[in-house]
Amino acid sequence: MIDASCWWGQWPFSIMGQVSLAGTARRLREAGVKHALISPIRAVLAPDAATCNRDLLAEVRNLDASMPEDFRFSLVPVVNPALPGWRVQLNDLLDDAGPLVAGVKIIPNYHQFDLGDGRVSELARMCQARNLPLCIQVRVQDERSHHPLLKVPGVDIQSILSLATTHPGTRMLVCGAYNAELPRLATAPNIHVEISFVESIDTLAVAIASFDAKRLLLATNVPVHDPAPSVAKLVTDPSLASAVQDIASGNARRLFHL
Amino acid sequence: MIIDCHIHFASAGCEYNETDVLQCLHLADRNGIDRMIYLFNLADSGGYDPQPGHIRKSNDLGMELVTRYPDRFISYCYLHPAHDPEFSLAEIDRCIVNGPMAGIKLWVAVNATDARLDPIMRRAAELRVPVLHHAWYKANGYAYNESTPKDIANLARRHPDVPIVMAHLAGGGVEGVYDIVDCPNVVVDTSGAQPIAGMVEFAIEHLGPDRVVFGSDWPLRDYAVQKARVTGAIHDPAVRDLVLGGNMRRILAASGKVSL
Repeated sequence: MIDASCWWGQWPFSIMGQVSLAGTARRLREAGVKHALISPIRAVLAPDAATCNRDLLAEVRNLDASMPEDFRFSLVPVVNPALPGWRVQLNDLLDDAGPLVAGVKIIPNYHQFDLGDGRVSELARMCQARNLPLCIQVRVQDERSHHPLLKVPGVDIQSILSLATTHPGTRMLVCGAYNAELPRLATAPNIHVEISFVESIDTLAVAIASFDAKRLLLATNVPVHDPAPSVAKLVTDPSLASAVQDIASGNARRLFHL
Repeated sequence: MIIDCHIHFASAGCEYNETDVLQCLHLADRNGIDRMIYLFNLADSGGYDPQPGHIRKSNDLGMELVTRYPDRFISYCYLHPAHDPEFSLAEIDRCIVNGPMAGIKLWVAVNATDARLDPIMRRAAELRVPVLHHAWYKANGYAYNESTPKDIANLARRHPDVPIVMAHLAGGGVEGVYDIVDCPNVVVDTSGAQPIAGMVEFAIEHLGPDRVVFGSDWPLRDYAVQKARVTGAIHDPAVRDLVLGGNMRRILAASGKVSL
């Protein structure tokens, strides 16, 4: 199984303490994940995402023997295009990390930029040129349980659709979308969605009814969420076995060129 | 035995619908869930402020579930504490004393701190049946007269002889667990919101393994996902068995209304 969206580090609103990268790997491996696309969660609130990306890269390079043998990480650095210098920083990271980087993530609501911003378009074109998917984090945490002084609405779905329509050649992964948001997101063929926040009566069967099974990806949103419940979403009708296989790993392989 | 202490139906008109029921049973079977506790029907049941007719219809559905599938469904009597106490007590007689129901469900119609709950709670104590009450701490606004875990603690202290199931562990969060630590008659169900990391472990650490019970909030949620919140978090088989069914079995046994 491939986890299309998880995080390294400590989420300040969680009771979970600091977990090492190897510890994160063990936790995911216990849930059945063998490969994870990981971003630094500190970058959600920290003033400089680039520093967080460099720290994550160093951690990945220094993983010790406690890392499960049959597990690996790919990096999805966080870019804040509202900050000057992001182009140089991203290019430097891509040159340094090479194939360790599998995609680029933006967090528009926490970083307070609009998806209609020209700099986002520039990043989308850059992703297309580099053959990397652009991952758009809609929410990190259920809005109902936000800190009362830090209420951050989810990213507007229409703005994601507009961006996807404007850049049809850029592959996009929407992270943290709810089940109810799937039908609208389905209208843009270059949009993929990970299922860490998607849940319903029979999660995958319902999701597949409104969204192309070839564009849905397993994700855990660790360490904000526990991993086992996300993996349990793959428990569905045996007739959907082929779709489950795609969602568990095949679609991530195609999207991220793993 | 795995007991899911928190399910609903969403059947049109609160009418018994065999297709909905078979879907529920099929999904429960697929996930190894033996018994499901029906609380109230989500569709056409009066929303936050149901009228007596809605209450009766939702409870009629619950009784029919138990009558048709006594080995799979347990039902609670849905009530609105703002209704005339005579109506609520008569509904308890109809559904629990003279019917097959085994508990009481209260949602958001009246806050748990309101004295209008007291006649219902006193009757629950007499009958030794549990009361499952909704609770949540919300950053983005409360629904109608929605209760918080602090309100549930207030209710529990007013009625220490009533076993109370406080719904939605992840909705109440850390503060919600702390709120009920000193209320031994309250257990918390694991349903609600996203699988917030560490919450099941936290509840067990602070409340003890006998005060956490498995609930799914099906069909709003997925049995597989909700069960995995428990199985993924608890590695001790004895504790896991308590949370998945043992605790609820103990709570239900007191009234003698259900044989498990």
